Amino acid sequence: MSGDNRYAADEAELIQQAKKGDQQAFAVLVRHYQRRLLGVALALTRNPDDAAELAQEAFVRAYQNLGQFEARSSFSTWLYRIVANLAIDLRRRESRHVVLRGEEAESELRRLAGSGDTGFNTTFGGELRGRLRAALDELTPEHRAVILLREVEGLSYEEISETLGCPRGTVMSRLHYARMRLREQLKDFRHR
Amino acid sequence: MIECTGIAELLGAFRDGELEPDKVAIVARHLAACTQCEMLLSEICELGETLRASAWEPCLDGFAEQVLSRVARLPEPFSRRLRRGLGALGWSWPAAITSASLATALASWLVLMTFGKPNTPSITAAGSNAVTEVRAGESAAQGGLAQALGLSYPGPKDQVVISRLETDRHHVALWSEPEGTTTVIWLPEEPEISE
Repeated sequence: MSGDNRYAADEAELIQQAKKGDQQAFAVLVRHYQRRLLGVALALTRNPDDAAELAQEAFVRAYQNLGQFEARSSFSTWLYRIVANLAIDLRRRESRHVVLRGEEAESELRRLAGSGDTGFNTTFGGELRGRLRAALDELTPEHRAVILLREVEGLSYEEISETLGCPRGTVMSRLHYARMRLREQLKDFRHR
Repeated sequence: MIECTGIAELLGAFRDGELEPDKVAIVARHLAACTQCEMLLSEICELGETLRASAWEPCLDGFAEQVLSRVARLPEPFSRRLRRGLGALGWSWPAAITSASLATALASWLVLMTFGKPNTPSITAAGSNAVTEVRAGESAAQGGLAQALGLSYPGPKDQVVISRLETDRHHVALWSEPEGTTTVIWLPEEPEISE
């Protein structure tokens, strides 16, 4: 039996133990899912700091609400759904306008101009990275999330559907639209 | 043959392996004959590779420890405390529920037997050194039960002091009037505690 298969066989038992308050069992679950949950959080926020914060909060809430997990979906999808809800809340909070003046505003402008960190590898071809980032910025958060969850995190359409709480058909159409938009945006670069 | 527009919408799902089998066959047949759609499929694959290659690898240093540290500081939920307590007693949930139901039923019966009837006996608390009237149909045993439970229920309407006995002997005296329905109980006074 491979390591992954052995883990899958043990997962139900680990969840049961964690439900009873066994923090060691929950630690195994956290270590197993941390990379993927951070990746999903990043696809939803495009900001590594926000992603880390949301993923951490998602794990804590998962632990607090383990009693409500009835295994109707997979544990991973349940975790993704928690982080997706947190991302929606974050976006709502951030959509409110913040008025900054004086030194505070200048500091924020410097931070925004200097960071450029949106979850993309800085060592990957500078110009292509810039174009890709700009192209992703052109997409709506929903279209961006769908294509990143599929292409970067490798989630199935069903998993994306459950994570984002939308029908599978919507996932499919959003994915098609996002691909066509990105292809269009990167057309010039590709033809060089 | 289906037009390229219809096929283009299916190419992404075709490449992702998410297309229904009948549509897979249609797309595959179309791709075999259409260079334009074949090129579009190749571009979709290339786009995916570009996104993956440029994606950020999350930093996991200390992440799990931070999560677990927060989890360790959480107050334990009541349900878990209860479950742990029952576990320590060697009880399962069904046993606990059955026991709780039985205890509730017993307590309800005791309360009903003591206070629930219209002709409730009125018994003064031990130590009043008074003789009180107990209404018809009530036995001394019931009064004794209430006393044993420490229940004091001096209802102003039902309770009538008939007389007071003067005695040094510490025991309970009881009379029943043959012609009436009255029972008389004497309760000894609590010995005074000298300071």
